[in-house]
Amino acid sequence: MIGSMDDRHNLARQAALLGQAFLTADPRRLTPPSTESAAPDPVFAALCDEILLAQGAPETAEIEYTRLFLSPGGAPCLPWQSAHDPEPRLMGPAHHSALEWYRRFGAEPAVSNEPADHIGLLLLFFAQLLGNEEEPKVLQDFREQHLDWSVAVLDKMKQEARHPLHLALARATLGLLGRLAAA
Amino acid sequence: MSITRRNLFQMTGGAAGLLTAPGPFLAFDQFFRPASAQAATINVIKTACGICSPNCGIEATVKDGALQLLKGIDGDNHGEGHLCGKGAAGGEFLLDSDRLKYPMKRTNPRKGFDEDPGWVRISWTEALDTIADRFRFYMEQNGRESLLFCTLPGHDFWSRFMNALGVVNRIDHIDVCFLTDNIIQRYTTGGKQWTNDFENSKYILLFGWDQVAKNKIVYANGIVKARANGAKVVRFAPTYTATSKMSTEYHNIRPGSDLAVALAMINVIISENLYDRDFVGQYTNFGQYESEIRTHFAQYTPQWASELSDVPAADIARIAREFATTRPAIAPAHKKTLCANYMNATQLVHAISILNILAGTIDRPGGRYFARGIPLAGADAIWPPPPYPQKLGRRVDGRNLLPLAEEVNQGMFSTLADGMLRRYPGMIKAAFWNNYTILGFPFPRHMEEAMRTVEFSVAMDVIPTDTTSMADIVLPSTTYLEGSGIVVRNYRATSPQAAARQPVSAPMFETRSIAFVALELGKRLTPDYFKKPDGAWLNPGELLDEQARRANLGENFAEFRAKGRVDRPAPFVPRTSFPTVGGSNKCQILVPQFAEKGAEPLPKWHPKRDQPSAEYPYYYLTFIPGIHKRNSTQNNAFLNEIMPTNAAIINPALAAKLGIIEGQMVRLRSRVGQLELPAHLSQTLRPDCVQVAHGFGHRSRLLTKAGLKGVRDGDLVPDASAEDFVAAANYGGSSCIMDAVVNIEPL
Ligand code: SF4
Repeated sequence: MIGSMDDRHNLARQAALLGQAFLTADPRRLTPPSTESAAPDPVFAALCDEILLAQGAPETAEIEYTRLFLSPGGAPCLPWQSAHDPEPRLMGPAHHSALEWYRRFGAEPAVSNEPADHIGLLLLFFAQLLGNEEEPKVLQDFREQHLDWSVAVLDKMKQEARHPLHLALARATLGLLGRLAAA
Repeated sequence: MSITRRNLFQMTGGAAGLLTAPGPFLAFDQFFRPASAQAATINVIKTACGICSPNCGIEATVKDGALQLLKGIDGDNHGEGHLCGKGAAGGEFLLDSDRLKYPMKRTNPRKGFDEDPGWVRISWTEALDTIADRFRFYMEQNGRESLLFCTLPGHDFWSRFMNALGVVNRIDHIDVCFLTDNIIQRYTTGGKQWTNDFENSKYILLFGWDQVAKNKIVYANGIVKARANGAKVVRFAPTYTATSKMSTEYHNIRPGSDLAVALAMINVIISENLYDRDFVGQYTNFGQYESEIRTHFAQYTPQWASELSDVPAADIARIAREFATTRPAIAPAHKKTLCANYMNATQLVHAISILNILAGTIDRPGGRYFARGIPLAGADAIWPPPPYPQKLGRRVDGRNLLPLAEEVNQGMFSTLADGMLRRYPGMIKAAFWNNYTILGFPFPRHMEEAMRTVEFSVAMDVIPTDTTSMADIVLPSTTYLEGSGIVVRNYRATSPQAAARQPVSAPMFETRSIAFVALELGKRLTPDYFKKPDGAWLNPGELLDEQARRANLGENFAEFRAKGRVDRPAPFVPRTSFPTVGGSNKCQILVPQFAEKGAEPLPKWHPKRDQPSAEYPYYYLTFIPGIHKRNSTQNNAFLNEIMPTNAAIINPALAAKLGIIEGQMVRLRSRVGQLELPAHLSQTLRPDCVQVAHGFGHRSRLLTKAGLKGVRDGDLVPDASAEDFVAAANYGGSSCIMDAVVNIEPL
């Protein structure tokens, strides 16, 4: 169980920023919460610091974002869930399942020509579920179906990342998933 | 209406109040919108395959924009309701996670397969502006000859762009494909034809031709139907393939000696007067040059050919007689399996054309038809451009030394590296690569070196190929499943079809077509060529509308698309006039114009370039497996699973002699390189040969499925200079893609 409403909103805030960070190459487009409003979570706070630092020299962060997620470059950490299925491809069953989830809540991705199971979209949507005070069972189902797969990719990202921002992003996301799993 | 969380809530009918939650969730609005559907939508879309030229009909099932299934369409006269393995696996191109997704620029100036390019995503505007600026700079500083475009002419807008720019050095792969046939047919029958009327043929003679094994459905079905109709099929090839299996008679010929057999067959047919007298007398220049022709071919006896080819002389003579007297008969030519293999391919294609002429089946039932297509107006006919500038400058590949190749404006992969490294080093400053990879060149290592000499390279492709990994700017290309077009199917002369190609999915990510790039670069560099008379920019959609309307396919493209396909069956009326170049509307056996252009008016015997020796005792053969399309499908998940890599295929008898067992690593060495790969023992080829599949050995680490798997067959095949081609009478520019001999060593 996730504890208080404050906890929930705090986690939701974190998930929303993490989702955005996975969807945005340019760190200048990210707005980390101010230190006061950030949770006393050192891993998340480290991510916020790295975002602010990366905003001073965004190109190196953009290169690393491209290398890690977009290919070419071998894209060591493909951000789409279907790309990690036993038969990897884009827009596989996880894409359809994610779409179903979004639709149940009246939403769909703003662009339809990209897979719906991007880790960033999934985290953003999860943030909404958290903030919307959905039943724990709903949160758990979504997490199991659409977030847990990413642990292996995030572990790889921790090893692969050449930029502190992406290392911090992997750590913070793993931290969030760990707390959710333990709750 | 801008979407706010409030009206989104209203639009979604209070769906759990999702977006009304307090807190810092503004990002959600950026990446999500109100759902347009409550449930998954399933569409069935009829379109056309685009992997190879028959463009077989496809029915695509699409769920929520994601392709689920591709299958054939009944009534399509090429696929006849079927797709081959490549066609059926098409969805894996569309949904390959390795796909190039966004324009990117290199940030690491060091280029090489082992260098991390340091890609960074950029906008299309930045990419196109950069390309236009750099091209403009090099044109001003170094002239138009300094630009290299490695691309097929492609979309009409793309051709227009290159013409408007005055591009001198547009290079394509046709010399590793059908260039020789194109040249020979222009002068001997009046036009290159893929339209073989196998079904009505009674005798089919195949020199190397291997389209059954290549899975080209329209041809494979043709041979099957011909056999069912009682035709005799005779195949000469050093390898036993599915085509050999479908043949009535198979001869295990020595590599590169088909020309000798064809010349001897012509001799038998002419000396015994077995040719179709009516056709030959009425529609060819035989009468005009009879004595030269008879004298020329008399030297090529079956006995002589037998010694070169290992085909018994009696069989050569018998097959010649059967071919000439079992009517109708046909000897098709087709691309890689014949037209570009050896230094003597031009002569072979000429000899095969003469055999068809002597059989009297040029544009006759059971023979090589002229295609009856459905003509489409080109962009230049619809919106005539201002006069194009003259193409001033030096041709980097030396093609100007081969006037017949120069006339058709195709090629030359085979001499490009030599041109860039030796003939005019440093001349090429900027290059645009459109869907070509280094693997496609006869000796890729030289091409790799040549690419490093280019200051600025752009690569447009679907996946990150070897070429892409060396580029400064990468442009992500759409696949045939994401675009619109009109395809004309004309492999059956009596029932041509036009079919609508339409997207089964919106272009994924930020992929775009070459027409888009042409238009956008055109606006930046040659704007006058991309405006309509009313001053508005040209538009690919309007081009399709005009083409559909002018061809009477519909009022516009949308109407044609709604029909899906238009059939134009017509009674077959055989031609009585053959538009040969300089041939007074007759087929030409002896081509006098060739003599004027430094070529041989009648095909002479020339051995292939590389012959077995004590140092390199074995013939080297390459092939394109039926499950792959050249070098472009190895990263397709399904096709990769079926055939992920290549091996050295060796006859068990030779393997035993050399002490090689199945799977053992071997080293193949030619005069230009060496390869190490596992042996695969097979009775399907002669014991004096070794065979390696083309399409493997991608060096790009960016291809997660195909990268670094297998070896590059071309690494053993010497490339050449244009002067080499002239010296060897290779006036048709055959690329010699397997003209090599090798040594085999067990490891
Ligand atoms: S033969 Fe195969 S690859 Fe070629 S168009 Fe037909 S289905 Fe596509």
